[in-house]
Amino acid sequence: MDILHGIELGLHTALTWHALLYCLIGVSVGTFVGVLPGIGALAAISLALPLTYYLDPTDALIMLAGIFYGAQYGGSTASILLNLPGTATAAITCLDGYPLAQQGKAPLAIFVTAINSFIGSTFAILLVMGFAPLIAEFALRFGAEDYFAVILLGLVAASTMTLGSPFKALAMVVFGLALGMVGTDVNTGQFRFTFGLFELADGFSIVALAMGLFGVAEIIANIGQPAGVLQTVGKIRFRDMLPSRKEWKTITWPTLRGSAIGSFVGALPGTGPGIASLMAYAVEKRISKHPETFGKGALEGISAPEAANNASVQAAFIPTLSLGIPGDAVVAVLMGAMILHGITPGPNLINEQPQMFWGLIMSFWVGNLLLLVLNIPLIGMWVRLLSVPYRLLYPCVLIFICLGVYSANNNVFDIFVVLGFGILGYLMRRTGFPATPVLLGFILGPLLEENFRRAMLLSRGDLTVFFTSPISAVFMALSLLFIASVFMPGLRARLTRRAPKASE
Amino acid sequence: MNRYLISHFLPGAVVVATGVAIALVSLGYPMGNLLRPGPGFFPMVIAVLLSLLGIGVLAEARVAYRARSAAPGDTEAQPPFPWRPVLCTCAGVLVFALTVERIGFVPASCLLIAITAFAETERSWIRLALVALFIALFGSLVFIWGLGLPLTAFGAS
Repeated sequence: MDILHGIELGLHTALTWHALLYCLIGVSVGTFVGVLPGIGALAAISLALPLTYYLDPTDALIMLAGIFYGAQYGGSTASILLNLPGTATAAITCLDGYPLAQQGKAPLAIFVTAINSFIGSTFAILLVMGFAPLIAEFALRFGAEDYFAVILLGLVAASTMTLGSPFKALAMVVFGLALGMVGTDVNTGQFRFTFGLFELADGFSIVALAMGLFGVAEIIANIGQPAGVLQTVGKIRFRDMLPSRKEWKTITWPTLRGSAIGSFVGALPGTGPGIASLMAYAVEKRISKHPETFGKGALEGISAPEAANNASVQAAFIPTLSLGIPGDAVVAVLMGAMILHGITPGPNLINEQPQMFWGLIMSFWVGNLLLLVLNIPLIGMWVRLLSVPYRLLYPCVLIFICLGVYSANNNVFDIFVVLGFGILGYLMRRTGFPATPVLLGFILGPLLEENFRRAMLLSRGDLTVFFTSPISAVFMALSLLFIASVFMPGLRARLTRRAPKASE
Repeated sequence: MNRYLISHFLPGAVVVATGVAIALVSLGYPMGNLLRPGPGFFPMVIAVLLSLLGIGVLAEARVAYRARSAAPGDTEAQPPFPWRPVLCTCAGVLVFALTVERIGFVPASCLLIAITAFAETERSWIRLALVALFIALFGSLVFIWGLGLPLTAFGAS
């Protein structure tokens, strides 16, 4: 099927009234949780997941994906006005967004982040349309050993491309793999690590794990923090939002560079928007003629990262839809949603479910256009939301989290699980262990083990198969390259380089 | 100082201990061989990897500790552990989980809201009552009536 056919089919799916409705709900909820600091896209998607059991799978995916990319739009609003990132990925936007607001240029900053989010997304959606079908076709030739190698690459990329200690990140990936083993072994039916608990026979619920590590941990970390100072913006007039011609010129190239960096990082399995926006910011600062303006309200400093995080979010669908390997922790939960709906993401998806694949892609266009409307003319509505005190919000979120995990299995046991992972997630955050790799390890672990065992069976126990099969060998080499890039410069050098950052 | 030492090396030690624990448990599962890896094979590999990485974390902590002893000037104080928010949140969620099937969704939610309110240094009961009202209406409408969760608003389910 060529792309034009696909677009036509996708528009038929995405422009039905119910698809439009769920897309609108998705992006509105996404903007909502994005604007509010303390609840991210991950918690929102996990919460909405049980609600979608009754929907048509395509509509469900359109809505859940809408929450994901909608949150990236909303996240920058709190960064600009409160100096508090609305989502973790918008943290970098605080650096220059808040100074801009202090200078009274909040409307301009909000406009620029919205328009750049749109450009970044556009760029990446085009790439998804072009590349996902090609990669899927190529991936049909993958054997078990190739799958093992590409999953391994995803896990290694996710843990080596984080800030902070690579040992801690790698340890967390491995810990996630261990959590993924809990439950019944698919090959032999053996119960593993269930400790006699009947509730663990199916393993941990992904919703409970994600909401504990991200939702509950986030709430514990935020309670008792002094409230941020909301920059009063008064009435946001459209006239104040429009950049001057000179300002347009300043942001053009950073936006395009940000989109490119974001798409690349997002398309790598395992790496997400947080890293993408950070890299885009670092690149802009390095090549800028006026690096001293960064951190004091440089427009480049908000346009590049915002374009990058949106691009990476859309590009994360490339590996997910073509290989069945999530590009990021949030997409991993989305993948969990597809599996719950009986759809196995993988190279066959595009051929077997073309209306779902193209419908989802076309809904990205619809959703991003809706977001542009939600975030420019209707921005005042979201800004007002920021004046709701956090301490009234978190009990509601806690109750929704409890109900959300309960509804997955109608079982109180999962509430205990979510609490356990919440405490663990908070302690990890406090000691510098990243939580995203745990989730990726948890989701990819069973796939990794299954493909390993299958590859061993097919190769008669020959471990060299991972290096003799050409596709697998390339992925293995890339994984080694990632690991080498972290450990080669020497541990000591890394630590001394990081020391000034830690004291900031 | 001793306290500092413990909190500094504890995370790495916990990772190593977790690895060892996983290894001990997976000894109880059939290991199989490379041709036919059993259910215990993969856990054992994971356990060994985790322990090794934990040793890496410890080594890193040691390097940082040395660097710090060499230049004792820039000591960054770890913020004190926020016992109050942690305990209140946990107690709130625990009580909710234990009561929601016995006394109903609305009373359990009120309990959670009341308990977590003590996580903050000040609280406004009027506003919290409004929150409780919102939760009672919205939660009952969406989750119990809309999604058909096997819970009741009041009373045992």
